[in-house]
Amino acid sequence: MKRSDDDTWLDDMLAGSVQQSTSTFDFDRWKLDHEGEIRQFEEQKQDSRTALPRGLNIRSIVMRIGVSRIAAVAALIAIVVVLGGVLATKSNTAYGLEQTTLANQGLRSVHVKTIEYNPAATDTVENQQELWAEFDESGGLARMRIEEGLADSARVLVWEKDTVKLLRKATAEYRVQHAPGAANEMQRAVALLDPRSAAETMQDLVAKGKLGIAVDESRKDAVQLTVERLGSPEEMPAGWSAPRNVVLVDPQTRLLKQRDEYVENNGELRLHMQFQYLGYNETFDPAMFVLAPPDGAKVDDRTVGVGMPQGNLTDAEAAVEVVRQYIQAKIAADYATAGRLYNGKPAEELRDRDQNVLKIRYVRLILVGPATPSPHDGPRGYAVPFAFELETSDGKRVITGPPGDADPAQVDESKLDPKSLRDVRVRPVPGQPDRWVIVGGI
Amino acid sequence: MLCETDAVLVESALGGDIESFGELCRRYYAPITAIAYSILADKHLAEDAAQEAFARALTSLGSLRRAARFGPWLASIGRNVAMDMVKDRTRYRDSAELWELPDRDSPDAIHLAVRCAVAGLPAAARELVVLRYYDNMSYDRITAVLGLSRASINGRLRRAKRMLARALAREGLPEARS
Repeated sequence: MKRSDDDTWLDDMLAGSVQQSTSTFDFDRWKLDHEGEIRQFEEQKQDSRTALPRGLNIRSIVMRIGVSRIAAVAALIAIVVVLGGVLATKSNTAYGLEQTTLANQGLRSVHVKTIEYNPAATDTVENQQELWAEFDESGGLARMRIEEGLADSARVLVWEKDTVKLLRKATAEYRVQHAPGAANEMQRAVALLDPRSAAETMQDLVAKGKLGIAVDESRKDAVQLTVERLGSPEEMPAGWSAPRNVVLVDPQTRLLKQRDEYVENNGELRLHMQFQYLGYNETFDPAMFVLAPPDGAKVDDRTVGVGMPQGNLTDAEAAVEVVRQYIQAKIAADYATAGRLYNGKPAEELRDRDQNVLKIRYVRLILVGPATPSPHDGPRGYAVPFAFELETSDGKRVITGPPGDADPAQVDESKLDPKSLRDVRVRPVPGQPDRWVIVGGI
Repeated sequence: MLCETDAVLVESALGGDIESFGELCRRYYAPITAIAYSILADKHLAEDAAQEAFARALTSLGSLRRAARFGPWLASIGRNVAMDMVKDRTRYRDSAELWELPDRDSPDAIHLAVRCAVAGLPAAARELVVLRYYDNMSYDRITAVLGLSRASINGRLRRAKRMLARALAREGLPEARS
């Protein structure tokens, strides 16, 4: 098919408009600039050679990045799912290792509940958690919900993409924040769900004689695996120091149903943690992953970005409005709002500039607009003329906007010509075309 | 096949050969930069984003489940890095030139209109257009980094260009040719 002239024209224009030549990548230089990451990578390799200990480190990793203990619990639960699965898988090759591995590979969601008992008083529940997690096609964590705690400590966390939403039920505190670092850490933690690598590790432990497994197929509803630690706790990888785990495996699906971890207490083995695997590959209600603040909640929204939402305003109207709001915020001494509108400047910086450097106080808005296109500030850049009254430290009033500023007594405000005024430059926020910011001129 | 070679390099890197990772970086530097450019609209920031994406990829390489999918996996990291840079107020303040025109002293009105139209495309379409025309990237490389078939890329690119054509038509472009 012959290409139309318009196609050719568009190709040429795109080539002329978009084309850039990428610099040559210098890996040696990159290595010098990223020694920390290379060191971390090498340390991870060392860790992986010593098998599963990395699993239980996730808790401290997640704690360190400040996503809260609840996320750490999620990672921990996820790891345990794998470990449990591995037990069923590797402990008894006659039991169908390949099938179990395949079942784990197809994992798209898990629903797990954990109950933590006081080993000294097994009837006493000390804590509990419930996790709903969904995975994408490649097995990475797509989103999850965790409910944790009892009574006053109850809290809910929903994580999806780069956003964490957290609700502390007792105090009705609700927080939402972007946490890309947390996402990376959680992804890394969930990578431990890979049953293949985990199975290999488990196989190693069995081969090294550090775990012994007894299989009981007498039950109708499950196969019971009793996993005994054979070595000393010190020589076991983290997560395997308990002297006994009892694992129930579904004989049909080869997936775990439950895992009970027993610890020593006064010379007896007592139940400490119970992991109930409530569902695999379930389709969760999407509402599970939408955590909205309840009525009356104290909301801490840390995702509020820079700039002003455009709403239904035209570009030119938005350009004027962002300047108007900025000046009004300054008059109200609302430096947080002013900072968001002025390209995300910190409130303290603006306050310090006004109060300690310039020693001025915004008093009254006189005129703003109309906006005129300012292509040098970007494709949707605008220049917006302004005039407002301010007060200097000696109490003198000044109208700023006209060249050289002016004495209010000498100015007929009704005759101010926008074309003769100084202007503020504004444009949409890069990557957020529906939010507007001031980028200079005031 | 490119993907098989990627897989070999990934396995080799995981085995401790950092130079294999370097080869992957060299291979994907241009596409990841282009992806970041589609978000940041700044060549230098986009190159920074690509380098940061490599750093994140290196420390997460062990979590890559299918080595042959290294390209798409890295692309998703690159997108996240670029978005982080957009969100990062400090960097944003330091990048006042983010939306400056590449040739501000002699702006070409048509190229400006085309860039505006590209900027107005949905993110995925914008990314594809930039990948194709930034550094004149081949379909094979786009296939490797997006993990899509050539036919799929063709279709998506065609749709993106139709959207562009419509947007430009509203601006009276292309100019009437007799």
